Amino acid sequence: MKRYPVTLPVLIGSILLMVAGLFFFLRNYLNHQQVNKEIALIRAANTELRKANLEHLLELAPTADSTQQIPITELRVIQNRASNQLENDRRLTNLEKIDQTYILINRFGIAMLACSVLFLIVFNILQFKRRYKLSKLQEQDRQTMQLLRETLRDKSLVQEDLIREKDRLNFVLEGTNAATWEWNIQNGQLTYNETWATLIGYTLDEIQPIDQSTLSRFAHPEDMVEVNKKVSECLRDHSQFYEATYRMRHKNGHWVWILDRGKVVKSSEEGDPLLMFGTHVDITHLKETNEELTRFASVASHEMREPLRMISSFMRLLDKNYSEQLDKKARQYIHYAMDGAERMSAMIQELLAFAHAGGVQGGKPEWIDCNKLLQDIKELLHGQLEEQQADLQIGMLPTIQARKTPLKLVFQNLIGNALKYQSTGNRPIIEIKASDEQTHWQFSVKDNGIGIAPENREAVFQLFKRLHTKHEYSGSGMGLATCKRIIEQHGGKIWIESSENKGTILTFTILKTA
Amino acid sequence: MKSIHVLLVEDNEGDILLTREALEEGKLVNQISIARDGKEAIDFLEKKAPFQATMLPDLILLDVNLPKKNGHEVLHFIKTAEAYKHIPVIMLTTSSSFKDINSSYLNHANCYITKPVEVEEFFRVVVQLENFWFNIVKLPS
Repeated sequence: MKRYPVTLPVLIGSILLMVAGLFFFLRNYLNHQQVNKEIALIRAANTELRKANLEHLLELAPTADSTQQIPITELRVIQNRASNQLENDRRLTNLEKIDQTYILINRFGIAMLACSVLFLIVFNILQFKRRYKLSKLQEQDRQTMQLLRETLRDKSLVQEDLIREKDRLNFVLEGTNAATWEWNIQNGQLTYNETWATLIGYTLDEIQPIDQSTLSRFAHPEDMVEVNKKVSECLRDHSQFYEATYRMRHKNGHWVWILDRGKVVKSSEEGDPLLMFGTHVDITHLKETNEELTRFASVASHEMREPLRMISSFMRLLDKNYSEQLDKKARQYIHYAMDGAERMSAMIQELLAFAHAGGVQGGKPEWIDCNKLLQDIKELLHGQLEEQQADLQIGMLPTIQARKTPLKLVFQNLIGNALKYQSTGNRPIIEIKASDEQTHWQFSVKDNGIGIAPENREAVFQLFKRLHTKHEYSGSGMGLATCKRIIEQHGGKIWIESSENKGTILTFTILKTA
Repeated sequence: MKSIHVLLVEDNEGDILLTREALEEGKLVNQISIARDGKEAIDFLEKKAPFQATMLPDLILLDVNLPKKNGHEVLHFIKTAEAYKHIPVIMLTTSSSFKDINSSYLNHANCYITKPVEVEEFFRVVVQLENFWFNIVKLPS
């Protein structure tokens, strides 16, 4: 009501107007009635007077005809009546004039009344409309308030959740002693925590000011090229994780290997990256261990093969140049020595393949058309396939992202096994298929060979595990172990479905975004 | 007939024997000198004691894994020395690593050969080497 202050005076005004109109109307109506009554009375009186005079004159008429004088008394009576009549007429005129006024005022009163009623009606309609509008507005306000309350409640819940999450994250970070960084991409502001500085032997204060050049101040320049490339890749496609390893110079001067991982955690509605968060982990020890392993592999490759080559070479020369001077037994000894050296050489070769599987030697992940890869392998194994009259059926295969050399080795090993583990005289039938399993690609290599007993299906993946003597089926016991290692490096799994005498199905998966 | 002189830089006695026998089978080389480590190879070329009386070789067979100074260092020394850089250097080694191969060619090795594991194959390679460098190729005199 306060919003419409004009309402009350309008209401009172129209009511006053109505009362006044009613008063005028009633008052003048009554007066008008009274005057009308009076007029009617006077008119009646006049009619009586005229009638009486007329009759009187008619009575007197014969006398007048006889020229008889009309007595004065009679005339006086008639005169009186006539003057009365005149008087009445005058009053009548007066009264009619007064009545005119009454009628006018009466009409005025009716008009006032009508006006006030009209006014009230219009006013009420307006008022109603206003009320309606007002109620609608109020309803909206109420809803808005409700929404606001709910939002605030939700927000406080979210806030609580956020605080809880933040606490938990802090506990995790403290507990794991993880070094973290936070990069506001919009304004370039970088935040590191204390551990970040500790990793390279500093305190956070010592490396101030912290900005986008801080990292390159400590990181190895050779590694930064790759880091920058990976960061911009991640900024282009925020769904991806950023991961890089690089060296950072420790306060004491040595290099520290850092595993740096992060992700865009906030983007604008347009999809521009706003905030990136990540961690640093010191993997120097891991790197050193890895390097030691690779060095070990290198030693195995060169230093061990060297003496082995000596054994086999001179055994062969002995056999070639002096066989006439040796008896059968001596030549047999030479044969065993040479056979042993050859097997050991093959073993070293495979051990190397195992050690390098998934390592840097395997190359970087690239897009590989598996159809083409299998064609290459088919050509490579051409001789063996021909010899055994094998039927190698290759289905439609996808193009996947993987390390080429190791993946090729997996297929080569599996097809090699399918060819090798066959009963004598059996014609090998090998089927290779692939299917899309959403997050993974699944491949299977099926054969009609001797199969693997259920109790051995896990064991065959162990290093140096062999189920047969070398006279039955030769082998180093490293083929499937190497496959398993490679598949696991590709975020996949490898398993066996097989029943003895009914062949083997070797199935493996490869993670799609490996 | 012109005397053909080869310097074999190799630390493994077995390989020395094998290479020597293979070269002799080719019947073109009639003088084989041996240096058993990198330093010895340089001393040989520089005519330092005990190599004062030696002649410069026509060809050098150089292993990579050598004591004291490795094959790459010896190669670098030869190919940066005015007096020796004309001598063809053949890397003959067990290593097949890309790092060794690339580094050798960058340092102007004339060719790089990984020693075959099979002894017959090794003999064949050495005989072919001999034939190529001393029958087909014209060397500086």
